[in-house]
Amino acid sequence: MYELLGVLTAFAILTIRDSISLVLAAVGEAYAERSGILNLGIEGMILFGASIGFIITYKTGNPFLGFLSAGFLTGLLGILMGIFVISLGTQQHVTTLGFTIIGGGLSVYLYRLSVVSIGGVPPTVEGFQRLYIPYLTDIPIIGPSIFGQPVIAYVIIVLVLVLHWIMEHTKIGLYIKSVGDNPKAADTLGINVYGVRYLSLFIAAATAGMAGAWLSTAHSNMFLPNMSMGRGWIAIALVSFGMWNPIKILFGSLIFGGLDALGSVAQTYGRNIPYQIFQSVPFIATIIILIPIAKKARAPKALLMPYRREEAE
Amino acid sequence: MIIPKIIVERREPLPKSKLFIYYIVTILAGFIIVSLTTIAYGLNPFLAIYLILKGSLGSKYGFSETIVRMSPILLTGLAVAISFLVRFWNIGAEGQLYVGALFAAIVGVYLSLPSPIHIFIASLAGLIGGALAIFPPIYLKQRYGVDEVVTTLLSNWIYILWISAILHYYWKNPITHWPESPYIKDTCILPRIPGMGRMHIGILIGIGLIGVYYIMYTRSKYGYELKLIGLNPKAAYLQGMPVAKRIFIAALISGALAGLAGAYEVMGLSYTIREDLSPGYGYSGILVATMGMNHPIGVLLSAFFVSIIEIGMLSLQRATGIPYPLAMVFEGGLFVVAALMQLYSNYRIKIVWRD
Repeated sequence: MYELLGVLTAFAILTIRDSISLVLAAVGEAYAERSGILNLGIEGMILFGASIGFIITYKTGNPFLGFLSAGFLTGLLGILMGIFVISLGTQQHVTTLGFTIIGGGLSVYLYRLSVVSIGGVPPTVEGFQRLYIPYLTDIPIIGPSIFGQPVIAYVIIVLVLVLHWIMEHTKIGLYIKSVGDNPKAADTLGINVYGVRYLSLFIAAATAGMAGAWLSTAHSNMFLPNMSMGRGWIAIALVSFGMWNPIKILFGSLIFGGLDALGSVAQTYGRNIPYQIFQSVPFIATIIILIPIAKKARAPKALLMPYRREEAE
Repeated sequence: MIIPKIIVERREPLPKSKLFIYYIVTILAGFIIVSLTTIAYGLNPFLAIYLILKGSLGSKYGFSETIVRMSPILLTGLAVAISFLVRFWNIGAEGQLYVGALFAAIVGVYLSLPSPIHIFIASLAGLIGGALAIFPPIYLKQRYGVDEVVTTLLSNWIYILWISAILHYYWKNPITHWPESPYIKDTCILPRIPGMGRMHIGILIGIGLIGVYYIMYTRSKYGYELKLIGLNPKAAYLQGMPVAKRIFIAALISGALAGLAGAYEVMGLSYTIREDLSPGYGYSGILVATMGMNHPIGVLLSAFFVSIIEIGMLSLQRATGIPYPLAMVFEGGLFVVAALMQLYSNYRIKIVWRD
């Protein structure tokens, strides 16, 4: 009985922990796609943010500063990408995939420049402190998993809710959606199509960067090359899964975090089954779950289409 | 404050003669711009370019290594080009390559046949493996409307993880005990080109397939249909073309060719399948196809160009100690340059400085 409780608790803790990086990156991606930009650079941006977050935390000892710098600097990377995909209107798949490679390369390069690893052992940082909310932590299973996370987890959850509120209940959200559905009409109404797209891409990149910082300063407390392990691609799938709605994406992230955690927990029991099989489960499940949703999901109409005022019919 | 404003204007597509010149000029410009990343390492970019070219073309060894690198990315480039031509966004060439390699390795290890037949069957196995690997994304796209970008991207991870599981748990090499398959039989090995180092006939087959694609692309009704489907699927549909069927076949061929690239890496170079068989040839294929604007000659030239860069970067790393991650930044920059080139062939870019 106690053992089962322990397993369930471990499962719940892992689920929440895996979901947090996913939801943040995916909600950002929803901003980009809602405005008409498919950002395949997200995987590289997560890595870039993980590296920046770690480096700043390592140098200053302040994980909050690391988290914010990761968000801001990765946001700037998004702006740089915007020059190509928004202002120039280059093909989005290829350009943004290029940024995944650039981000991945930069992450390792900057890390090696700024952090000395002794004897090949990656150094660690004192990441975010765990915040135990009194009494609530004592609830079995959900107590330690939900109310015993690193401080920044609560900030991220609030951030996701704020991003949901902005998208669904404010004028800015309305602008973003109109720019992604019908840029020509939005332009006629006096909305700055380019400006709104740059803003969305900044948000998308910044959240991806912060998701990365979560990985390197809270989920674990070290940076490893390629540590995002395909989370960026799952985040892209989650956006379709959640039909571009941040709250639905949050639920989706919990499901996938759960699958990931299930894999980790199952791994300790099924030693005869290759661990790679467990690792592939979230990817397979993502595809399967997309099947019934695909027909219902309505992608933003102007997704992948650069806006050029002169030639808009 | 003076703000630069970028104006992008559509223009008549460039005539063929001019297109070629633009292609070369843009490649060189991109080369120079991107090599500026080497400044970050305190290296003179012109020296870097010199070293890259010297390493990849300046010696017989360098040249043969460049061609060895070109064989797989010519095939993955061709694979991606065919799918991009009909706007089926196959980002999964990397995974398809691995599945093709696995199939070819199985045939190479377990069948005993006389050489040319063995090679033929193993090539066929590679093609089938790649086609099977891309089948689920095509089916899900056409039957249920699931976005192929997501499914092909995720399928890369699935296939590579599965193959890793197979190599670690079920098909370890009994002699080396490494996570690699047993070595393929000698009869299944692709002949090398005499006097050219590790260069094998895979490159000739690749060029032959480019020839086939060229004829299809320029001379056949089929090629015309594929191009029209890519440009304007509605018009193609109204003209009575079986759009879905054409896309299905084009995407299937795309996967098959990526699988063949993997098969030839096994049969021509490594003689076994390993987890690190491909350092991202599938992704290089996307670069090659885009840079070559899905055109057969473009794909051929850009596969050569990208191989020069990749092999040159390796020798640059050896010569100057420039770290590998910086080479990645460089390669990522090439993706952006490729996208710019594609834009440039149809648009004029002007920068206006104004208050």
